[in-house]
Amino acid sequence: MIPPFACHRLGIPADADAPAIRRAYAQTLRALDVEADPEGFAELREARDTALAAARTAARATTLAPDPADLAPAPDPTGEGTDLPPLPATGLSEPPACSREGGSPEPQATPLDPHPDGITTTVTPTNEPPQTPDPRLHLDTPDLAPDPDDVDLHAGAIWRLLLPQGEPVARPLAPDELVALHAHLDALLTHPQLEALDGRTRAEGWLADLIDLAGPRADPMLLRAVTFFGWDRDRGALHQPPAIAAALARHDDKQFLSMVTRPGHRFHRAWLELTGHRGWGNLLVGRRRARDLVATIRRDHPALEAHLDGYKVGKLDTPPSGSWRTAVFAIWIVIAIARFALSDNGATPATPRPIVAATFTTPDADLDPALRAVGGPALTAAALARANPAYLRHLRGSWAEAKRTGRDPTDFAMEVMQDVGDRAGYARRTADYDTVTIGRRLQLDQARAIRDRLGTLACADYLNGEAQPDSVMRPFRDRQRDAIGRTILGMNGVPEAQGDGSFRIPGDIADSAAARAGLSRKAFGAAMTGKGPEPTRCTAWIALLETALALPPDKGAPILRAM
Amino acid sequence: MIIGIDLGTTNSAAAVWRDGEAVLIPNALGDLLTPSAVGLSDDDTLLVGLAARERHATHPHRTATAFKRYMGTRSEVTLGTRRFAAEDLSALVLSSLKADAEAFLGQAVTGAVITVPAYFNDRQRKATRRAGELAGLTVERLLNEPTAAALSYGLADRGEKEPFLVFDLGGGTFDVSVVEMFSGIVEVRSSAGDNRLGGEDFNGAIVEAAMPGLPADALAGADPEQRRALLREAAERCRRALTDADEAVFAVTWNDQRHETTVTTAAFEAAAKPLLDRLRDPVLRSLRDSDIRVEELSEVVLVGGATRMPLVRRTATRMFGRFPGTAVHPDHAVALGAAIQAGLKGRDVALEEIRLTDVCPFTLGVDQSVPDGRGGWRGGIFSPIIERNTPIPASRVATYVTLQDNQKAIEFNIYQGEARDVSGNVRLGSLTVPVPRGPAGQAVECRFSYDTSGLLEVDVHVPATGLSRNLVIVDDVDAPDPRTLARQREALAKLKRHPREDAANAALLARATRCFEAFTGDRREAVGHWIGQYEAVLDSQDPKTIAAASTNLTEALDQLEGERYL
Repeated sequence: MIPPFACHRLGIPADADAPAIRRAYAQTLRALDVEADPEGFAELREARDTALAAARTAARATTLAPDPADLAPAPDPTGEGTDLPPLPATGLSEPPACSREGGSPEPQATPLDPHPDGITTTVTPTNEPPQTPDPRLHLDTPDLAPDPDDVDLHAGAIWRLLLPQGEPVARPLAPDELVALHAHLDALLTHPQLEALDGRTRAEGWLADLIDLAGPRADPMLLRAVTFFGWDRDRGALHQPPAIAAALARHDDKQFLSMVTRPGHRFHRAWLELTGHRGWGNLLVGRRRARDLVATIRRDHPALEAHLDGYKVGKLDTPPSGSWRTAVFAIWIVIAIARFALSDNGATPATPRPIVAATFTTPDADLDPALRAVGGPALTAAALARANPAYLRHLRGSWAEAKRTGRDPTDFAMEVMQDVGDRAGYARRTADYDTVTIGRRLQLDQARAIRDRLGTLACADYLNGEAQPDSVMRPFRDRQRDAIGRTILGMNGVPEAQGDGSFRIPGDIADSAAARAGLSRKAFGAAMTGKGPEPTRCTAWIALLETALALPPDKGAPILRAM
Repeated sequence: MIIGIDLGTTNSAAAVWRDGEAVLIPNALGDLLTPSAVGLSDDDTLLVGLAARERHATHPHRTATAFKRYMGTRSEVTLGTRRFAAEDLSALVLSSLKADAEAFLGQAVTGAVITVPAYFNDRQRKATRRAGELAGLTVERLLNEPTAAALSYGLADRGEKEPFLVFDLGGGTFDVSVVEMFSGIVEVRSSAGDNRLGGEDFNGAIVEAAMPGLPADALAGADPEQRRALLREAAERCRRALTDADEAVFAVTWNDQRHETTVTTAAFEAAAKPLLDRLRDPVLRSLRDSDIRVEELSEVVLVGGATRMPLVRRTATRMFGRFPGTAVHPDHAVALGAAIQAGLKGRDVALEEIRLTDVCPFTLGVDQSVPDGRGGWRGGIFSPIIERNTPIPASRVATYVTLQDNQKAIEFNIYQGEARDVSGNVRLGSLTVPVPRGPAGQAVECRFSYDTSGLLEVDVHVPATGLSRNLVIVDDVDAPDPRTLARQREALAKLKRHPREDAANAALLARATRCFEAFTGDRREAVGHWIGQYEAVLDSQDPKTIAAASTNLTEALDQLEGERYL
């Protein structure tokens, strides 16, 4: 019966027949302005289609008792079993509704008979056992010269070849069976009955279903079927019937397989590698080529992915890309590391490496760069020979030793620089007033600079002897070199380290220094002995330096020398 | 006044609904068909129609034919020193038809219903519309050619008609429609077609069949354009001759040498087999989509000049298992149908009962991403919103969701076609809509509205924020603004034209020139002589002597090469 909404829309009784429905539709359509009311038009169309479908079902029910051998669900709304495969909306819907003939005599064709003469015997889907499979392909077109036996002969033969005992088997066709198959297929496809559209369509559907059922045994037929019916012309189309799409996919896969297993194909080596074959091929397979192969297979031949070794493919697959934040974080880390590595934090040499020869030549020639680097332009081997030959002899001895043991000249140069620097420190204890003040003034300036730029903690570290960042110390380099050079040239012999670094501060100097620092005497004392908090130490030291430098030479020299 | 125009690949025609019937409009030469050819004479005068077509073989660089194949593309043709786009050329043909109609009807013609192949995509339709506007016509409606033929067929006797199939094989396109008619309602059930299959392609098959019979150096020294024009001319003539005989002559003249060979029907059939195979697919598709079986069809209506070929008729007979009907004139049916639609537009009383509903021949949709089974997404998959052969006007909604968390916007790319991968479809435009921040799965509704004139409107609505965006697909890349259109129109109007009265003489002269080039030896001398005489008569400017001379010349040429065809 016609659903109420359709009755209402069309204005017809629930038991109206097709002509009445059409008349009502025509009348309503004329009264409607289609352009202005597209939704109304769509509703009207839907009402009419539903009404017609209902009327058809009703008419069919009265003329024919239902056949129990029929498969009941018909996905198409018209309810009529069209012999052309119904059009699925997407390629994923179920296979077309199949109808079977139970071998009963064909019923007389009535106008609305769903099984008129020449019903297609489509093959049942694989998940249902065929009960009485009919190998006959009934093509009955009365206008053309009928020759049903001829067509059915060949169709039946093909059927029996592909499905011995009516069941799909795994073994391929024998050579003589293959010849017979091609002969029958040729005869079938060139039969004049296939020139008519309906005959051709039925044959197409029948063949596609048979290929689907018979499995790999039907592969030899694929090429011929695809080219004859032109299935490849519709490749990738939305509405391609699923059986045909499946057959086309198998055909494509076969082609691809035959191409890729041939040496010389661009994917050949990648294929061998990924399908688990060992051999020297895997050394020459680039990852990109392998990835391309996998992408091609996934896009165009998904069924072939089963041939590939899952582990190897998994190794190739990159994990789904994370968010951009991960990338940014990684880059930030890399930059931070680079900065850290390139920065002067930590034990970087305060002075740049001197440029020395790659091998030892002469003592003086090798010592000069190092001396200049640490002591400024004034400190050369020649000058040292005049001023302090003992030290020069000492250095030359080290050079000979280094050469003999085969040390790296650059390392040796660094060692020399370190030695010179240390000696300069020791020499200050006995140097003359001017030299000492130059050194201490430099120290004071550096301490102040560090305190201002890096804070009192850094300053305290500096005063404890720790190296400070190059960025702060660089302005003082030249002065430092000159100071060292001057000290070295002014010293006598090879000074050694003395004492434990402690010294006594006379009371009055201590008081004035404390007052300068703004500290109490006690705090000052604590700071000087290294007990107070760092900021205080820094302030205290600086204050002491300033006070000592302000004193007349005779008073200040002992302090300055001892500090 | 609204007329109906059939703008074909090879020939065009105009018709009007007058006094309760559709009447074809003759052109300045008195013919009902005007060849779709445009050319420039040697002094840059515009030639449209037969005169231009006759010059195609002799002046291929100054003549353009079959430009309907380029509608919707940006390719241009050079005629002499000027460049024309396909729309310009179509506009010139349309304005010529407009002038013919105004002369015939004695009143101004302002609007037209222009027919397009049912399988013309959106771009091609827009180009046709633009051509109409350039010609100074308001395009009231673009009507599908098989639908027009169905109208013309159905109105012949307004009875109930079981579904019939219109098989329209024209000069450049092939269209199939399954149409039903009842109670004055003409309803198109489904449409399908092939835009690259027509009479011109069969000409190619003739050439293929004839080439073995010609010496290898027959066209030595000819540039590709000339070669193509000469071969096409010969093929056309040969193909028409094969309609009535089992073999026909294929003749080309080049470098004062005439080469002839014979083409048999069997050879033609063998060469044309791939084309005949291609005829099957659209028929099957339209039958399948309309859910009608071949035996349910009441009639197969052949439309289009190319269906006169016995080859095509035989194929159609074999395909359908019956003899196709001959109730409509294959060349005129479409123009007459367009006139009927023009009458419908004008709400003529005689057509009060008639209503026409058409369908959308292509699937319309957007691109989406689907899960690829490995935790990732595969993009560029076509998601249809309006399926093909939906009755128009149609309006459908589909809902889409965001793929990722905190997605800022969704971009809809709109496509037309049948392929599952959008790269195989025609891109119409795109629309971006911002979505509220949130986890993946924010829903957005997309509504497609497709109206009878083929205008697609896209409405995107975000339920969460209530935001809506709208896009009317007017033109994909460049929507020519009215000024550009006006400028283009002016440029076309500036071309020199012959006075209307001279059109027949120009065509005759062009035909005579072509014959001169096509023949050699004595015959060529004779034609040269006739041309000289005729030109002298033209100079005299006496209408009576000119008319008499024209008749004489026409007869002489008909005797020489057979009757002129259209």
